[in-house]
Amino acid sequence: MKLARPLALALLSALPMGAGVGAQQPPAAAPAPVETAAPAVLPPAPPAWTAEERSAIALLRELRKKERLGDEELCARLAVAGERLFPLFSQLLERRAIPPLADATGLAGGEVQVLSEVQEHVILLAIANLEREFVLARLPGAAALTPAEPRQRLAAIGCVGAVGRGNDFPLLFELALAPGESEVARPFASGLRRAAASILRRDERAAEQLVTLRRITPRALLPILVAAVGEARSPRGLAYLSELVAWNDDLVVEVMSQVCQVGRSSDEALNDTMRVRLRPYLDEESPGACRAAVRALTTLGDLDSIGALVTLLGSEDAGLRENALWALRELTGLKLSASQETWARWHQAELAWYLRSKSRDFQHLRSNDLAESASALRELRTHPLARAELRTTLPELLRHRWPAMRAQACSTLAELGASEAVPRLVWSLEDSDKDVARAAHDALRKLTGENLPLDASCWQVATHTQPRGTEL
Amino acid sequence: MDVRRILGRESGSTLVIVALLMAAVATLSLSFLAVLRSSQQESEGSRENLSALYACEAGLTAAVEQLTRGGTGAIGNKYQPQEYGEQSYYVQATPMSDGRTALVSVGRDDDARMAVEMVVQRRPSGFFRWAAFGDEWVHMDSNSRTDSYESDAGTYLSQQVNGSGSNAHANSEGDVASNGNISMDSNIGVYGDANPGPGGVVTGDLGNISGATTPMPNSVDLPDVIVPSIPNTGNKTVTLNESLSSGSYHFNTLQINNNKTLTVNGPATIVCENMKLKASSNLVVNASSGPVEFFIVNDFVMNSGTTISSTSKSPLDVSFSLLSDNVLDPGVDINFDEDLVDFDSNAVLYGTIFAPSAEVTIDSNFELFGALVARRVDLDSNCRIHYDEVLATVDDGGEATYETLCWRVVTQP
Repeated sequence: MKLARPLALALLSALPMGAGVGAQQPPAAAPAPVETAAPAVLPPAPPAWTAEERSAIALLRELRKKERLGDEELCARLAVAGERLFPLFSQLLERRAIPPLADATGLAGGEVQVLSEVQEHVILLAIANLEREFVLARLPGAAALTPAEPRQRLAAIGCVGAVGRGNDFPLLFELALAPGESEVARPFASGLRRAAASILRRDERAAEQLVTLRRITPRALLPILVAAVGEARSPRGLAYLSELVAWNDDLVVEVMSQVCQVGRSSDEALNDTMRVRLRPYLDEESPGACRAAVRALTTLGDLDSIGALVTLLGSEDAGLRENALWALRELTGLKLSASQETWARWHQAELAWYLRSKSRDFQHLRSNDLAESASALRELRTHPLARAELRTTLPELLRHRWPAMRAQACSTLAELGASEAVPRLVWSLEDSDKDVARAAHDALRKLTGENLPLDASCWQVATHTQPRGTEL
Repeated sequence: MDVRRILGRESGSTLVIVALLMAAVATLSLSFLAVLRSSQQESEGSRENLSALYACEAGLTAAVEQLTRGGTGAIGNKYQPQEYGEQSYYVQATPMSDGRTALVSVGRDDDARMAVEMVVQRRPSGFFRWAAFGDEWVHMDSNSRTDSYESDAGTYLSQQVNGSGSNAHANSEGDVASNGNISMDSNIGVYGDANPGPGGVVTGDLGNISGATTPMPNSVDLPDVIVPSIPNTGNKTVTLNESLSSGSYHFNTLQINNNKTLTVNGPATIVCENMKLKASSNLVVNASSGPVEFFIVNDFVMNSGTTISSTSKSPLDVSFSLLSDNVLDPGVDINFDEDLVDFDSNAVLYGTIFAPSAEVTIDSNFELFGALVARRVDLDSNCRIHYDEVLATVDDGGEATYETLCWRVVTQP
């Protein structure tokens, strides 16, 4: 906040007010570093923007108002001029200011506006609509940029983030950390984080690219990339985080923190690897890492850490006790009190059941006897340790000979949040029994959040499910 | 030797031996069956005891839920227990002093009965429940600290008896929270919880948080600031020490010049388009007759060395509600003036700050006694927020929560 005034003053002096950017090459950026430049204020010269530029500037200036158009509408209006506005966008990002429109357009006028987050966001969205090759070709080459041109580098990072793909990470790295630099300046760090997160969201292969680049990624960039992976909130990023835990011990707390944002991978083997790697950190001797591990392992649904969590309930650290209780409640779905004794008793009983009766209950679940099968399902629903296996077994029950059992299977799948069973549930919409179809419909609504009618074809389209085969 | 005679004489003994063997086997079988039965009964009893314990737990959960909604906590009774699947429970609630309640839950499954006693304490329901809350995020620079104290139990210094040196602190209720993420540089000190939003995380120096880092179950909705409608009387610049009598005021810009003191007598409501305390100036509130509320529309600047406090130094006496939006408008605009929200170094404020649209940066060495709720919170290095626990006890109609003080299995009543 305190930087706003000096920055604005610097920008006032840096803006080329004499001609439209479409008609001239952008002048050299201020040589001073991003956060320190504070030259004297110069009176602005009369602007000479093209009509399209004037319109874009006016639109951007309007973004100071609390009531404004939606981002998509704004982008559509800025995209009308297409690539012709890119030089203006690039210049606004470099100067981090919106120039005034001196004459009376009726829309705006007055003084230079310091670029707000909202304005920057809209500019980057507009750039994202342009061709990647076009944008990258117009960026100054990373090698040519020196630490003396921070504004250009910062703007370039934003542009790469707006249009880039996984292949562009090396360019991004060079822009954020120029050769010879050992630390990433704060504005570059946040710029790189936003840009990398944007690429990770856009390009499904970008996380793999990060894994490939891990060994050549400068050490100073790794924590920023970890934060970017978290910000992208894509489970694909778990592979990268897992790599970092294996090779960069010093980043483990950051990685564990971001696991909560990334969530579980669709690759169960990767989840297992991560669980095994993180479990040793459930150690109250290192309370910071332990707090992060509790959350990460809970996100990964690690039932094997329940024992260690119950032990943590007896910790002298009140925060760790609270974290452990939260984790146990999340993992088991039980709301037992904070007493270690209660949880230990429950865990003992659960393990005893797991060893002695689980196989028998699953056998009964598959039985053709309705009473036996229903009773087994009732029993299995009460055992958190069997939840994963129950999720994989229940879809089989959608072919049970008794409709009541099929309907029960539908509702239990919804209860367990088994989104992987959505295609099978879509097929169950065509079940010969209306109650089963209704139960499948309810389950689908709960699992997908969609409120479509009880019509199999509708759901097939919405969930990209193949039509039902003959096997059901 | 007559073999047949000999055989004939021994045939009776074989029968006896067989009979004895059969008796032994039967005895063994019976013993085995008895052991098996006993084991089965024990197992059954243990299972039923566990089920009864679960029923007790369910009863306690329901009782706390009822207390939260304003009930007594008592559920059912010995003769009319609450059905819970195949089990049942009833809960007796006994009010104790200091807002505590003893709950005894008795669970039953067939013949098995278990009883559990839990003592819970009502937790405050005031709006200001954290030392610092950021709607979008909270960031703590290195060496920034949050802790808590009770303004009605003496001065902060008298309660700052824990730790030593830069880690000296009072109580451990200095929570920080956010609907988004919380990030922390090295060597911070949070003497309390750090709770991110439901999908958020806490990153950085987690080892220096004394409490939990679990996410909040739900996001917190920040209410809008409703600025009272009071006629604007123009600018007011305090050039000499002076007083304002209680009442309602609306200034365009209220500025207190260097080294000057403005005393405001409560109860008062003061609306300022902009408010600026220049270096080493003081704003003193005399709240003996009531508190003073400030509403700031745009800029709010406390320069270094300034102090805002009431004569009793209670944070309940002074509140600031800021309409300022420096995220939407970080610079100068002809339509919207720059919204400066600036708390400079070495300044001290006793009170609460509510700025739902502003990114509030607390400068290094700033000391806030009270609480801060803003859109974004950035605590610079070495700044201190001492949360006043009394703020949490202010009943603003919010839902109370209950903290478990102890839990034990007891003999059945």
